[in-house]
Amino acid sequence: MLNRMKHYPMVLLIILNLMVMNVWAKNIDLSTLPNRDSVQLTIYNSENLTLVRETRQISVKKGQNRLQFSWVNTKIDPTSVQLNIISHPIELQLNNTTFPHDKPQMLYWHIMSAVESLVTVEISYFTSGISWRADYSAILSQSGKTMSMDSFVSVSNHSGEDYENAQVRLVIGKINLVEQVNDLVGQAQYKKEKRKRVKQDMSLRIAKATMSQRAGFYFASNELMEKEKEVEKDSLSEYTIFTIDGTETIPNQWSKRLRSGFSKDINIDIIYRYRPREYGDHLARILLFTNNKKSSLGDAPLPEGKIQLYQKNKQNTLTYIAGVTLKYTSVDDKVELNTGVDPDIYFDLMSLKNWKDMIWMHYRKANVYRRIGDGHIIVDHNSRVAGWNEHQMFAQHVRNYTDNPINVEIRRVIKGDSILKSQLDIKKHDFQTVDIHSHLKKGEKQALLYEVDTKKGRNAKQNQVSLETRIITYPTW
Amino acid sequence: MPYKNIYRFIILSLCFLPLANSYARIKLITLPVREHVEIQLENKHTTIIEEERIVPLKKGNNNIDFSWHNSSIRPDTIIFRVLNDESGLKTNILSVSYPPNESALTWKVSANQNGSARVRISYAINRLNKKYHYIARANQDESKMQLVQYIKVDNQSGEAFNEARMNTGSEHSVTLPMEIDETQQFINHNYTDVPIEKTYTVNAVQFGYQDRTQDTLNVLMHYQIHNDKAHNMGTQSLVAGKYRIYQQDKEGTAVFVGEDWGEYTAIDDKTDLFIGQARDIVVKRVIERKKHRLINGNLYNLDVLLSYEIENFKNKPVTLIIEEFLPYLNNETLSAISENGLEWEIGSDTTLSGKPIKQRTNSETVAYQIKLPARTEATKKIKLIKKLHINFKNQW
Repeated sequence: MLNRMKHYPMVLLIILNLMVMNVWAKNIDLSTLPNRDSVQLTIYNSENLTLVRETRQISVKKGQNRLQFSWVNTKIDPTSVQLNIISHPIELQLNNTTFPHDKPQMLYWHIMSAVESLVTVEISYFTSGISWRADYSAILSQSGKTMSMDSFVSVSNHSGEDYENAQVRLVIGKINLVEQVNDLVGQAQYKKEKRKRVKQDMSLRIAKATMSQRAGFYFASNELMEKEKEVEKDSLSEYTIFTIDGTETIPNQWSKRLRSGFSKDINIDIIYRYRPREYGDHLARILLFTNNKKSSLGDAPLPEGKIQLYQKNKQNTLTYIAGVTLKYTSVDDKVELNTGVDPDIYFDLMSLKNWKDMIWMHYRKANVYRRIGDGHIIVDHNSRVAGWNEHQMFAQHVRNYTDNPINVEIRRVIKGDSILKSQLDIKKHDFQTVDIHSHLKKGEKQALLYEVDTKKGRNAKQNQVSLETRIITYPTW
Repeated sequence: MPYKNIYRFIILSLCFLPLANSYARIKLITLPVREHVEIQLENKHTTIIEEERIVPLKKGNNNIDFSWHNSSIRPDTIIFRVLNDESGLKTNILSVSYPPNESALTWKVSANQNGSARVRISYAINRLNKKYHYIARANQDESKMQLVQYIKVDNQSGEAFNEARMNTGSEHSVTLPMEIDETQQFINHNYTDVPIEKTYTVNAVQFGYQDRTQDTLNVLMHYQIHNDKAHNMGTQSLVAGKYRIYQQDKEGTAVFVGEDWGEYTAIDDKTDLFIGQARDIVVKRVIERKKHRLINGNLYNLDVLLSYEIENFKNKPVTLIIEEFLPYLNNETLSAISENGLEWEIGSDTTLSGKPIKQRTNSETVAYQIKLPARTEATKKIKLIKKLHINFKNQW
């Protein structure tokens, strides 16, 4: 620790003053520096907040003891620092805490002890500057039907303090800080310990079974080969806690990345969607998969993070697809990744033909309406068009130049009192939006024809689109 | 690769140090050299490097350092994979640590025995860009051409790659050295005997007039490239790039006739290359008639007759495409564009033969194709008069 002081000016110190008198020397002190025995970090990313719980062993004398705790150049919240006496809760009593006026980032605990003993204390506090983030790396198979995905968590320490051999917990979810933090960590700790006990029991059973085997049977010795660390995922109320197995050392200014999961055969769907409000004015290639057991996922929510997507190519190397953000995904929820435009899909909407009918004229003098073509038209130069039906025929051209069949979903907003006529597979999304679905084989070219009839002016009675099945043929001019 | 360069740029190294002090930056290291480098140029925006190295591992935990000083690697894209397990060597990647203020990382890898592992490191790199360009060499009668696709790879990434295989997504690849700040150009595809379809097109709005006072239109020439098997192509999508077009003259010399930006052309798709303006085909466009036919009140039809006077001074027959952009025609004739969709039909006074071209005609454009016969010594030139009658309906 002292050695590190040379390298890192930002340190946490706990000093036990050896004087047990009631009057403290003003400037000359003799102190010992108890080391940290264990440290646990619980990182709440949503708030830039980390709960640090550390245990240290201190020697106390019978009577008054003074404990100095300082955190120069760190990002600790001074109001959050707490001392908890673990080993002798009855014999030791924390009398008061003093924050000296002339020394910022320091406090004194005054402890009255009934014994002279080595005592274990826990110091907890909040610090900022430690953060974690999730990221993912996925490799699609050549066929594009499955993918493997590595999930990672990276912890960055910019708190000003080194944390050696720390147990690291990561909290996913937006927390309310007022009362819940300790409960959360406490319950997760209990769960973890319970599971650990089950594991220990299992190991014991295996060991016993091995011992009972005849001579000549050996366990393959792999002691030196450290296993990949497991990241345990616990859900607790609205939160999920990732606990990294064992301990990690994360010096100040360093980052560390660990694999939190690996899924080999995730079934994926690729769908091409045109939804200008969501994805911009182009046909976007959307990669879909579900965070469930079937996808060899689903043991925990997927925290938000960047995902890098690659695909295996014919040369068995990787082709880069895209780097996009994976949003927080609950268990059994769908993941949607917009991987951008595929140049091998041609997509173009063409307006083919327009025409009008049901044109109504308004005769102002008589205040009557007459329809053009009904045989009762009276020529009046002062009459005005008051209502009409507009017909528009469209061809949505889609060409699939990729090596695989594709599914296309096109969302169109059709305003006004309209009827959409076509033979296509169309479903209404809302009162004025439709989704056109189509499937294209490899190399297939389609012109998806549809007609939109809109009642305008006084003809309009509603403001919604309705669907009608009708064979639409390419126009001739 | 000289060691000096290795130190300057990307270093993969193995540290033999007690793991408790893994963040101490004083190390004894070995430097496994690159065995194989692949530059993936398939993605439009992102270049991927894949490099393989043989890394000696000892039983237990190993620290593998990877640093990239002065080179523009994107650290969030780095993937580390151990490839072979043939010797029984098993490995686990335990963690990755990122030291402060350094372009470096350390993988902590455990091995079940001493041995050498072939590892593949993949990462995206910035400023290693590619450009496509094409050289088209047409024969003298413009019936066929040779089309060569070149790729130019410019390496400003700050890293040198000794013998890198360039992967462009095509079936074959080339292996070239890529030094720092160096540009390499290579042929990616060479298509021969590609049949040419040459078109002549007029469009008063899109291509404009050659002489407005004389009503003569610009006549634009295009080569149509069909990227399919029927045209001896269709092996790979043609990425967008500049096309330089040459034509052989009588002496067999290639004469530069023009250049154009070609769009991305998928297999079985086609693209038009503008190669210049024709002088030997003259098209005059005149609005011969515009009649306002009242239906009632403010509702009317508009009757427009266009006349084209077409002359071919060439010794060979050509195909001319006449396009009319109808909103402009409507505007030109009445100086008001209707807010409603344009309703029109082809009138009976049209003398252009056949139907409009389906691929080029829609609610706003009408296009016709005309075969112009070659001129003869007797006629000197061919002159045709063609009419297009458009009836704009239900306007107000």
